[in-house]
Amino acid sequence: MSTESVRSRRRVARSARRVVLNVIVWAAAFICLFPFLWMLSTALKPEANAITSNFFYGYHWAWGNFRQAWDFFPFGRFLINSLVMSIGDVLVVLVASTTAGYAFARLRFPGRDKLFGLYVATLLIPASATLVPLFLIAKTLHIYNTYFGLIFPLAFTAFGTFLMRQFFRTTPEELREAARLDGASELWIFLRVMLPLVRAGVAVLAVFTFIAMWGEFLWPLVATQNENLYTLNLGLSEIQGQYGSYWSYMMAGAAIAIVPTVVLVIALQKYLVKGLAFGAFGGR
Amino acid sequence: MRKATGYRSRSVRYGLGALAAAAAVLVAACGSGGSGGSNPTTSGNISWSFWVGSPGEAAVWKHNADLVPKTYPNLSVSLTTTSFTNYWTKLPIEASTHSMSCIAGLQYGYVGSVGNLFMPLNSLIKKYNYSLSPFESTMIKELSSHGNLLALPYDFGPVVVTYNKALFQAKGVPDPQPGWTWAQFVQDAKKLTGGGDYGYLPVTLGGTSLSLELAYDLSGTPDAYVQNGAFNVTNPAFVKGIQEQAELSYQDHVTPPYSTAPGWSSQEFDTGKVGMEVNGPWDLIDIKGQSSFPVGWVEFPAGPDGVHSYNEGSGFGITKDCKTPDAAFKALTVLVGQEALTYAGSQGRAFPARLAADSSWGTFAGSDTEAAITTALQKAEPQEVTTNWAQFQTALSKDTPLVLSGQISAQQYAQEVAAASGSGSGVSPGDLSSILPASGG
Amino acid sequence: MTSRTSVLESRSRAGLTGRPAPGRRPRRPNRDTRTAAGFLSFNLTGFTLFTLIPMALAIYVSFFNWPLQGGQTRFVGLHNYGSVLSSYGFWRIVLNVLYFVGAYVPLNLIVSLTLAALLGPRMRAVKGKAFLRVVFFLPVVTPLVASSLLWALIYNQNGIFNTVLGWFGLGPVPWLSSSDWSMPSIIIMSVWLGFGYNMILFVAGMTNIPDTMYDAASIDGAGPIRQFFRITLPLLSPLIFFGTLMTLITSFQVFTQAYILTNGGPGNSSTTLVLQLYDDAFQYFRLGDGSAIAVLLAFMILIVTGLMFILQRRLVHYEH
Repeated sequence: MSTESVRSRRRVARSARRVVLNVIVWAAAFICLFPFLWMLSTALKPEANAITSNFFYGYHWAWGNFRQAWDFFPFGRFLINSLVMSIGDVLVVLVASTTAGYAFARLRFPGRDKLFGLYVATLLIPASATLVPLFLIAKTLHIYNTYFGLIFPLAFTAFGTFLMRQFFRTTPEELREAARLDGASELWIFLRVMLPLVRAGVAVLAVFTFIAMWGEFLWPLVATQNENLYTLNLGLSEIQGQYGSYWSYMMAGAAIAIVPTVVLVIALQKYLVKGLAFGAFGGR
Repeated sequence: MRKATGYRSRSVRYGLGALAAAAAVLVAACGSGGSGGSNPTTSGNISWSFWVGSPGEAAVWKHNADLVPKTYPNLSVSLTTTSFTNYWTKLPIEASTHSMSCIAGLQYGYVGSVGNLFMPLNSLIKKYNYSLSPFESTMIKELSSHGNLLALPYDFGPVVVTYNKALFQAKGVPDPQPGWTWAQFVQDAKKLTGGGDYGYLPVTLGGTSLSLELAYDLSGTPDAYVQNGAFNVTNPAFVKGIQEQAELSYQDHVTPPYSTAPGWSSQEFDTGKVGMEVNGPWDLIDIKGQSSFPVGWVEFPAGPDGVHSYNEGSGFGITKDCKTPDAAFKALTVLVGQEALTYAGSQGRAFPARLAADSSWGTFAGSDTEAAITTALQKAEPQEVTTNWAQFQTALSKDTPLVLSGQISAQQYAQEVAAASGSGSGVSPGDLSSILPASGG
Repeated sequence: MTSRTSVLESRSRAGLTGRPAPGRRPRRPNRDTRTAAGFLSFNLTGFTLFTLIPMALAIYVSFFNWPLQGGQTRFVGLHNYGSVLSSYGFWRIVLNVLYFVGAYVPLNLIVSLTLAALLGPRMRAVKGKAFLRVVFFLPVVTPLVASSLLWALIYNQNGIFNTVLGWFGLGPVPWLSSSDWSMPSIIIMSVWLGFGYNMILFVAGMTNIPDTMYDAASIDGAGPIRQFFRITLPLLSPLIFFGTLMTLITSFQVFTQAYILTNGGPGNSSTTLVLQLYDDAFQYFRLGDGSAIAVLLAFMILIVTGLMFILQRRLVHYEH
């Protein structure tokens, strides 16, 4: 067998492999995207009961359905509420986690490790276990049915503190010593020296938190009764009950709800992998 | 080791910016507090919460809400709607946090379980000399408990069978007539089934559970779930009423496969695939809105004791969280007034509880339908409800598909429902002589 | 680093460091307490109020007969636990959750690992990787209710799945209306929903594996598949462990898909523990029962997490 034929055989094998891999991946991508496309195609169908198998063809595209869904339900309101809740939570989580993470990582005080152990222990208790008590607490504090009640109760899990502590532990200790010797205040050290060093961690935590809060359904379901406070998820579940069998309007509504997240992912896709890469290894 | 210099301005901006934003969120959240309480102390706006199943229904109620300022210029009503099932979950949660709307809907069935959330209207009725004589008297009783009227009725109606005339014709089945029997019903259903079509929709009233009305009809026992004033479903009458219905599914196969998908039941009928369903005059608006075939209405087929059905309806009441009951009552009188109910009837949303407005529904429905409903009314009786009605309804629907498919027997089904519903007792209207017109009011 | 720090510390304690700032003494370690109190105050307040107290309260409420509205709360000891554990269908519900977890987690991992391998930094054969990563991540960030409504349409008796099956002559599947299919339907939808998260995580991990390891292996004659199993997987194992653990914990608490798609039905064939918790508390108005379920669920997750950590010692390869 000549080297030439071996080489060309290898080349064929390599391109065959390339084709196969691409087919698999792109098929998977199609499967992933298909439900969204199906949703769009149904949203454009003119009949109220739009359970047909036509995929974008065979019917006149009823763009008016989006108008209908938007008018009947206050989607703008729902969107704003979702944003307020998600961004609000990100801010609270960031403030709470960076300050506490720093304290546990770099400050010395009695009982520090025991307290942190308590934090870690709570990580093992599932969020759903605290649903009913949070409801009762929100009621007692009169923050039920308010933005405060939507945002704050979810923002104090130990996860953020744990993550930020990991990142802060990678910062050089002598930096703080040197800054203190220079006469810097603790707050200055934290804000101008420490925080910038853990920017990657802050970014990761922000992204994780936003995604988690955007998909949150159970707590808003329990914590709000006023339609003015409904998040996108809640508003959509109302559509399910009040639109009955109008599938095209329901899909139009769902499509409206999905647009912001699509925009978000496309805008942030650069940071996704990078941010998670840092988070994955705790900043090491 | 990185130097601190060079990051100074940026990190300060990030850090302080984050803190400032967090503070802003805090202040905004504390300050605005959403629109938490729905009972402002001004008499201007009255909040009203109600259930709807379609945009058409919502439009009817919004129209009626706008009638209020025409009579009382300093009052306005703002309506919040939710689905029928969610409504009964929301109301107790709102009650526990004192955030109920001023005016809220009350269906006869839930008088026992959420009636305690409503303000008795007796004193307001006397104060304003409001006459109850224009209303259908059984509805007044059905919306009362222990001598207190809890809501002013807006509609009532017998539960009947609605059927798809086009499908009947296509399958060569003659229209059902008053006086038909259960055996004829089953036969019709069998003839209608085939080729992707089915004879009967096994779940009732656009909901998800078997029909208590049919259970009465088929067992011959009224209120088979209450025995000696106490909630009890594990008795032969109730089991029989359930079993005969379930047999249509697992034995006669005349029902479409049950689905938990949202909107399934109304969709099945409205797309013309099912010949008959159990329904009431309040659904005319949705049936007309979503179907394209002529719909017939007929009283229940006769069971072992003749024809029996329930007369059901709902009203609007004032909740205990309302801080302006007088203003709310004024708005209420408009919402159940002649003009409002005539409108609701003319749209097919309600068979008005105000007898003088009844013709509006008939006009919309057509004389055949009106005649059918009037006949059926004669065979419809008030239904006794229980204090655990909300749990009872939830429990009824949970296991419905299992009994429909024959996976569990009707006896087991009754046991499940009993376990999930907890205990309860029957609700009686009590003594209403002080406000009812009959005793010289 | 540690030794350098302590040298600095001891030197500063002895006052022998370079330039003492005018008028300031080097602080002693235990003086951090006040600073720490300041830094911790925000978090600790919120943590106590919204995490610690609720956890204690959950256990407390579970010992009471606590109606949502109206009626009195009444201490009943372990009665709620008894009635929950002996309620018909409770063990079916536990089985549902175990079924879900047992099917969903492995499926999720297999799909996400496979696709991560195909989208990894060293996979030059595949084009358009950035676009693909976005596509696979889309379901993760879609509002859960929107996705569930979407899948309710797809799973409809006359929906697209059954239509396509019909083209191949296969009977319509009662996806959401049969006790046998309700759970698998939820599982399939959940995999679609969730794999993107782990996939991105694994891709990120792969970018941290130095090329040199693969180059060395190639020289030794190892093919790509062998490289994957001998290099990638072991080096990725801490990440896989983390991803599995997170996926496990969240899958035990599945709620939204079940609530929207089937509401736990038909019967209770797709009821999950959190769904039952919600029903007991907010549909049947029995907060005590809901809390009892919550506590039981927490125990289950604790046990599984413990098992995972034991497994970790055996299976996870940490670099040192």
